[in-house]
Amino acid sequence: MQSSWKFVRCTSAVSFFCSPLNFLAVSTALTNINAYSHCASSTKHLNPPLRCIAASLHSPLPSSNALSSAFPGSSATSFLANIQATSFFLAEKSDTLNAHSVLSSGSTEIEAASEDRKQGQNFAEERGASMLSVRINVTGDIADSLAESLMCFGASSCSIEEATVDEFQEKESCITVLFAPELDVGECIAWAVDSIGLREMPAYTIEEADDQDWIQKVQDVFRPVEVASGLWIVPRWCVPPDPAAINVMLDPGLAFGTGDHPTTRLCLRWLHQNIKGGEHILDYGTGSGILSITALKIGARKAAGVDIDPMAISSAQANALINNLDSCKLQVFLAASNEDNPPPFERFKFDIVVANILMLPLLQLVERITNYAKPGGRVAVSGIVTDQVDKVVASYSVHLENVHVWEDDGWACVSGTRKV
Amino acid sequence: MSKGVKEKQIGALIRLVVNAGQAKPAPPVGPALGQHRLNLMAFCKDFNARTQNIKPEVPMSVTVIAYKDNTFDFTIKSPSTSYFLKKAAGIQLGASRAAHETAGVVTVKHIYEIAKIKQSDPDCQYMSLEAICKSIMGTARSIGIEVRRTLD
Repeated sequence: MQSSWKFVRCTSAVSFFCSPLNFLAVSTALTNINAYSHCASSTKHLNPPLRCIAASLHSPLPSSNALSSAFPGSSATSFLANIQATSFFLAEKSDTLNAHSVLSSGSTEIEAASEDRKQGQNFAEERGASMLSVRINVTGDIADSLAESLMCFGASSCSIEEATVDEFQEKESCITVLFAPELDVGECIAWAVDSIGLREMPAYTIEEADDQDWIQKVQDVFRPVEVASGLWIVPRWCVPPDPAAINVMLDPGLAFGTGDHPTTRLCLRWLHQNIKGGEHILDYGTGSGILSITALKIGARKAAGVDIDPMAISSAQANALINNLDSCKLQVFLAASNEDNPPPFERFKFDIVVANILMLPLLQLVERITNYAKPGGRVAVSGIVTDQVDKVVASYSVHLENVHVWEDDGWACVSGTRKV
Repeated sequence: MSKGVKEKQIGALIRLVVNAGQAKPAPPVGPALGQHRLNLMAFCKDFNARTQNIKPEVPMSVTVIAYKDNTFDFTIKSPSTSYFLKKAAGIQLGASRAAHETAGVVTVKHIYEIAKIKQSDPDCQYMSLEAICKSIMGTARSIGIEVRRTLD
């Protein structure tokens, strides 16, 4: 018989755990919960109960400090002190991402991929077996639960396509599930179907997901775009809509930077306004090289690009060649994502530094990025959403003056001049 | 409906698990979203920017709604309850026979803390904290994790 119980809410978790009396009161209250745990809980919005094998999610569990302190025998309060400081889940900017740093100097320029090979082919050849794609046909109302359940049992992704109406006037959906190549697909589907209580296995077909297929579709999305008046970013395989304008031809492959993301537009417009001719540019986080190459076409003298992704390096080199810029105009460097090697650039060397990455690396690398600029040089950073602007401005205002924030569609760009 | 606002047709609903801050145009994100002609780069950049406040390598559930005009919206949810429980118990996998063997142990304090994180999930906002706790304990039971009052 369910007895009434009070759930003691405490405003501060610290006081909750430090006060033994409070804890005892709560623990007696909470033990009553145990009696109800076998009732069918409505977990539709949390994960459905896993009846037998629990699938481990594909991403490996990180061995963090919180894990080791959670072993039985260690004090629970220390683990919870961690949680209370939310280091278990939320990131503190000082201890997470490692700063990028450049590998040893000298000839770190990567050979450009030959122009005939599409970037997509590079990517597909480097990978091993491709993923398995399974299409399952089910009635519309259970598609959602089945998709959630499949995710729990090891699917990498589930995609529910719109319902169609079949001859029995029942809505039918098709779920396309992707599995990693080493999984036993039949077993996972069987567990998932069983856990949502379906009587019979729905029909399904397995095939190998063709990598070329989706890579091609990704590249098809790319269209010519006019970022500023007289400045177009055009896919390599398209004809420039305005031959008289400055046209930057791009084949980004799978690197970031096609010109239509708001952050790229913000940076490109900023470069358009700030390049007078003859500058030496640093593009930190170069991706496809779009910012450096556009800067060179607008009038800069030399550009250097840094990225941690080897694909970005080859993409940037290839794009430079497409635009008839040889390697003395654009040099790209591959950076390691650890703090070890200092970069080969001297400090206070560049007239303009632009960095379109993400908030955490920007905050970690603030000194490095601003130190690359000459005193009086211009710096612009982007890749941040408007909520993150305050942190970035606070951090960069230490080294920059005349800080200005530009916004476009929820994204922002922070620019300033290096203090003398 | 005001003039000029067209309702977008939904093409597909895609569920994914992506590590926070680590979305890349590679499997599983690539094939799953690329098949529907969505702008992969925009998704990766957007997702990474919005999960900057979460530790990298924490797997986040993402639900992407792809519209027929190749635009998309997505919502990011907190990781699954079983992930939190396994992390709290310090184990990698749940029990293979949940009712018969115990894979790990957590305390009620862990449950409380996990419930607090889950409460900010859009799906759970109408639930009371005790209901979320009950739910978490049900999941713990089903993956073979025992819940105790203290660890001694």
